[in-house]
Amino acid sequence: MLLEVNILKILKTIKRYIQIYLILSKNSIIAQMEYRANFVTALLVECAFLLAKSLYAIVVYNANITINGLTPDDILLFIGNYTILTGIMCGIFYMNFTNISNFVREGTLDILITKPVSLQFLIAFKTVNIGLAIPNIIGGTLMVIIAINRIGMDINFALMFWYIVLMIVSVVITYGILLIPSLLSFWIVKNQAINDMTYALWDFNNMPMGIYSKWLQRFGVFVVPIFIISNFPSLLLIGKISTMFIIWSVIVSILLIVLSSYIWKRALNGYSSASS
Amino acid sequence: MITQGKYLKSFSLGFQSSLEYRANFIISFLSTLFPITIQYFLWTALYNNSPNGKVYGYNYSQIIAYTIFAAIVSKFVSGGFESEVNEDIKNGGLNKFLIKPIDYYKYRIACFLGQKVSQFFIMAIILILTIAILNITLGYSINLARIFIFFIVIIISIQLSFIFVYCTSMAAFWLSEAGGIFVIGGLLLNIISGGIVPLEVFGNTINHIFNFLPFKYIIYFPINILNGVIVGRQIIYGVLLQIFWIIVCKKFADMLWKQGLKRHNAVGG
Amino acid sequence: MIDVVNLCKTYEYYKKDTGLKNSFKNLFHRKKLYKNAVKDISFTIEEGEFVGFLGPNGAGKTTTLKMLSGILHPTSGNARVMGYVPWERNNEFKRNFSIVMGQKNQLWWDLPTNESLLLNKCIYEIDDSKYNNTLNELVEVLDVKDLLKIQVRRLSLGERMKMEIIAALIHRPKIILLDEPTIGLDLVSQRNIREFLKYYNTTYKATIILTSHYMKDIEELCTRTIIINKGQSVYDGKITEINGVLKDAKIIKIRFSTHIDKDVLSQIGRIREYAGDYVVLEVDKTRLNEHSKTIMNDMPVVDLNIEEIPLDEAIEAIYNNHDGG
Repeated sequence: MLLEVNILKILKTIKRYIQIYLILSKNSIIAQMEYRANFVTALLVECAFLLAKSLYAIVVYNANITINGLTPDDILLFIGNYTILTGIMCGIFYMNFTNISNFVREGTLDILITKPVSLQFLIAFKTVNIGLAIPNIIGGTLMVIIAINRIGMDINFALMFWYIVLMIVSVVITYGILLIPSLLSFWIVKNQAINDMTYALWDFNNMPMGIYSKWLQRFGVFVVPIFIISNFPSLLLIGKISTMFIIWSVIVSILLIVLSSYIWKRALNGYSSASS
Repeated sequence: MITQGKYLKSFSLGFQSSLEYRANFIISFLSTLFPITIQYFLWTALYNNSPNGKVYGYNYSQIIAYTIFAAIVSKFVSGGFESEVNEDIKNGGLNKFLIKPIDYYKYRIACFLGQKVSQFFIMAIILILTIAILNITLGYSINLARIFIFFIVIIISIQLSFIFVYCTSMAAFWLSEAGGIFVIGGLLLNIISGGIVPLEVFGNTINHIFNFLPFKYIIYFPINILNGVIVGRQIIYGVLLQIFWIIVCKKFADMLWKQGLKRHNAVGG
Repeated sequence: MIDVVNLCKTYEYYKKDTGLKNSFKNLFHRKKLYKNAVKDISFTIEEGEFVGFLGPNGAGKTTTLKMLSGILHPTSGNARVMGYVPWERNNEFKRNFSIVMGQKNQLWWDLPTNESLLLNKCIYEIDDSKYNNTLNELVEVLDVKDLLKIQVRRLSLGERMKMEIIAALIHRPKIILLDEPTIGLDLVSQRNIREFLKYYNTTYKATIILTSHYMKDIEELCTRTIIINKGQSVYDGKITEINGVLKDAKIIKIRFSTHIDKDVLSQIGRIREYAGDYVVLEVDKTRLNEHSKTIMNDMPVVDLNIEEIPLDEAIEAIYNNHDGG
């Protein structure tokens, strides 16, 4: 009886949080559309960044060299997946995480603290940015489709299923890995440089990890698991992933959720004790 | 002289503010290491898999040198004041300049150069260290004359870069949210100046066209002097073109300023 | 309802000196300083009371309010609001109180108010009928029905404040904390908001704490006021009795038909203003009758008025008393 009540409560809470997120997204989109010029600018900026990301593909294609077993088409696939994930990351998390330092500095956090909803949720999902997301998701998907065609890959249901699973795991890992550095704004007030560094770190996924040295690959998969994010789904598609890797990525996602929650609590405690 | 005094003060303010957020100052230089690392691995992998040891006409030590220098020089010539200009224009801060006997362009370039002084020395040190390390590890050739010419040319480059960034920041007169333009402008400017990869990547025709445009001369030109790819008379032609473009672009900047002010006054400042 | 015992809050900050040399010094070593924002504040507030926190800027009013709302942890001391410890941030606690901060908005800037209200409805889990009833009533009393669909950024400051209040009251909190709600508003808006708050307090018996440095707010709304200066509570009681705490003096304003000598007047009381045929005197309360009779009988008076010492002054004196004493 108690178990059923608890499960019902959990389901009810999930439903409520989804409702709140839908309202937050709706509000963000309406607010963004209000400033049409801004929205268009955000789209254009992302397109410019898309060009910069594709620069590496241009380098590889114009040089016409196969790197460590990866053809230029394979590399295009990796870059495409990286771009899609960048779109998702920018759309859902980027603005909120980088704004944490503003919230702390301006005290916007105060009003949110008093709401009967998880503060971590409110901050992480506060706004949705479709201007940043759209070019990347469309551009990335195009790259993946073109690459798949050129490679002549065989798509079946099982492949699609595992691809989506790995992409979801990647998004969760993204959340954990990006949240932790932005929480540093609670201690270091002007966080701009750490943010720049974090997102520069993200850009390591621009190229497949196969171009990096063996020790760097191991570091990026097992210590600071940034490489898992865009490499694993791509490796799955070209048929070069092991089951152990898949299991490891799931474990990492869970560990990161736990770690980021812990740091969040510490950060909030510090804020409440230190400010005025 | 009184006039020198106010620009010197602007210079000093720029310098002080750059020291203020010390963590930022150091870390932002560090964050340029990451793209360099990716590019290093990319080029190394390309050269390892390349049949004749040359890619795009460069040998290995040259391309690695280019990658590192390009990142350092890009950071050095970059603006950073666009958002301040934007603020001034948007929030009426401009008015306090218009009523004072101070020229906005001169004020901005004085602040800019003030900020760049500390960066210049850091850049110089890093560059020299890098050349030494590259010489030892990859046999990169050192030529004191080339290094000397590089430092002179870079000072001209920075003027050119300043004018471009200044022109971009004029967009604030016409756009309500010009931030995006700054980012796009900065990024595109960086790419076509050869700030990420050498311009040969874009193919021979495009590279040839760039010879007549100003952009190449901000980053690609000084770096390839250092690399020994651009020599002798080509250097002189290049410098002349730099100066030519500085004059042309300054005229363009003045025109933008005039037009912008008209618009600024029309909408009530 | 609200119990505060020996609440203290201290925080640290860094000293920054001017000039180039000091900028360099700061690169290597910065001096840490401490500020005692709140020192040992205690009070108890019953349900339905309307209490005002009065005090100069930086006195610690907002900090106290933030501790009562759970935003800040105190350095030491205890507090209980509705039985909860605020900084434990219990959800039940949050559902029953509200804080409105004059300069910080909770409404989305680019959206019409009703979108932000729907968000609150979801967050506070208000059911449809209750939500509609509350909304209609609030909108009716504040007379803003047509403004709900207008984007917040297009509203005037006064209208925005009304909307913020609606957003804060939509879940019918039992305790309302208001930090400088009338700051920057025009007189008409200030009056409207005051009337509304009085109405809400009497109708719903909601407990309200208001901080302000506008005398009128406190005078018209609060039966009880707590004066906070330099982090400490220097007065806790009725407004009307403040004068009693300090000076036993009253003010007499007299206009004469001819010029009266200054020395003569200074015998009666302390001269505050003097203009030949007009004087403002400060007179000891106990000798008020005696002195007014003397003036009326012996001097060519055209007009005479007896007044209380202005509240601002009385409070000013309390601050200064406390500083010196």
